[in-house]
Amino acid sequence: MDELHMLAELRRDTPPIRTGASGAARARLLEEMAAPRRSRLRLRPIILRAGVVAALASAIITAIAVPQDTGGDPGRPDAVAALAGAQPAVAAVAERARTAAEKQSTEKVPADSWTYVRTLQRETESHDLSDLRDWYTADGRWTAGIGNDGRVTVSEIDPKRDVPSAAFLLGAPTDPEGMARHVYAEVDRVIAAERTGGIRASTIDTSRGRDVAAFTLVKEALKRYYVTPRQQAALYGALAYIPGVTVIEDAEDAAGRHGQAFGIIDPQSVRSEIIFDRRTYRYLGSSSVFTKDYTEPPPPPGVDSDYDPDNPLHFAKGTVVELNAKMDAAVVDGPGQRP
Amino acid sequence: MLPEMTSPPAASSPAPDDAEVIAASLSDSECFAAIFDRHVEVIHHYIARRVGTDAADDIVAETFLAAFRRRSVYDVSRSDARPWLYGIATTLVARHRRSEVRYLRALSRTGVDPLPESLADGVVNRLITHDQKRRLAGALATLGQGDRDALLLVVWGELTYEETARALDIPLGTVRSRLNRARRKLRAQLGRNDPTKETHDG
Repeated sequence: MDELHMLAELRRDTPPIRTGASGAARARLLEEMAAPRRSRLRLRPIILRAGVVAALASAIITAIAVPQDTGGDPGRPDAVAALAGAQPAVAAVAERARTAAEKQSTEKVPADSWTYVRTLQRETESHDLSDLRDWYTADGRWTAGIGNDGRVTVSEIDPKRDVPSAAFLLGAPTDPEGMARHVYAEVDRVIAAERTGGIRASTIDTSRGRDVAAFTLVKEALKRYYVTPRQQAALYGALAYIPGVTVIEDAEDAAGRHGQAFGIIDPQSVRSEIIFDRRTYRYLGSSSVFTKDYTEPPPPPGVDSDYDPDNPLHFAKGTVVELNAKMDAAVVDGPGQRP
Repeated sequence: MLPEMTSPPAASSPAPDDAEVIAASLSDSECFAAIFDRHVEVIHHYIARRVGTDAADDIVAETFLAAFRRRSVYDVSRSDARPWLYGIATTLVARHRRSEVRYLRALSRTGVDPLPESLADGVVNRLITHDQKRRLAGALATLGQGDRDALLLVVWGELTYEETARALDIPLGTVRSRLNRARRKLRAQLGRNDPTKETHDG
């Protein structure tokens, strides 16, 4: 028997895929096929093959991030302590939101309570508006939805696939600086866990740098979950500590509501916005738009990608990557219940 | 024993081949489920042999998701999608290179395969000896990633050299040279006298 025949025997007795694992993999594929309907759960806020854009940026950003990595231990407390100074314009808006929040009664959301969020989402390919109703427990352990047949399905959330989790808000600090540290600590955890495979799916794209990821984390938390007015003010306050965040005077959400917005522009010239009501400071929705024409550059040598030199990705200035509106959010009695 | 490296005789049944299914899935995406059903077992087995069933469960799901997303660039002149799927799976396995090598080294040192759930109890493979397993694992661990990929696609994935070249997107000549180098290392390791001497006294 030659060496190849011997090798063919090595681990030949590895058991076949379990029915459960095969079923789960198939379900993920079917879910992906139905993506336009349920894209919110899985797709990053990116259009068409724009995942590639993210992947390329990832390679570049990783290269930049390396010296930082070897220079210091990201787990060290003072790595987190290196918080940029608060930007006055953003901090001022957050402060007014905080004053508004303090006029309302303090609200504590129990960990096991069910929360309901209704979102309008403009689909990036069809431009249809989806009306999404989701339920989560405040601790991020359970989620529920209503199927086309009207039945309520409750399922356990896999923490590896649900980032940010609703649990991120549970017991989060209510002061701006504390919230900023909480946000960056979570971003650093996500970056580290993605490297080791501890996170399989996340709506926080870490490939465009730590600050854009921090902004995205705040945006996703506001978009997906029930957020108390004080937490909302603290999240706005945290944005003041993220370099590059500005206040935009007028923005429009997916429901056509106008407001002010916090914005940041990422390395691919996509501007993301967190839109809020200019009087009540209530979060309204979010959007992401290409601010310049963007053509996908070839990948750096050695980077795996499905770059096609004959058809590089191109996004025209003004292409909308994400547009949604949070229509309703409340603590409710149980899954499937409306406020 | 290695099976013959030829495709099974083309069935005269009307079942569409992979290329036809993938082409149809461009307009009706749900057709793509047939690609999953046809190949999930072999792709999973290949991945599980490299990095264990736990990691394989996840990687196999990612493989088919990635394939689905890239189906528009599939070369429809290729009737069999396996090389393409093996290529995607191999790229994803590469992220687990460290664990793969760690498991192989441990098997080589201890004779016990630490690959999670790799051994079905009672199904003892008697075609190669305990000692040969250790030597094979030790040799695999020392191979470069590219050499190991090519070797395992040919031997475990049962791909031809041409299919391996396509799967890894490398020239055929490179597959040949990788295979030659890998086989030389395996032979050297298998031919060595008593590999246990290094780690055991007796």
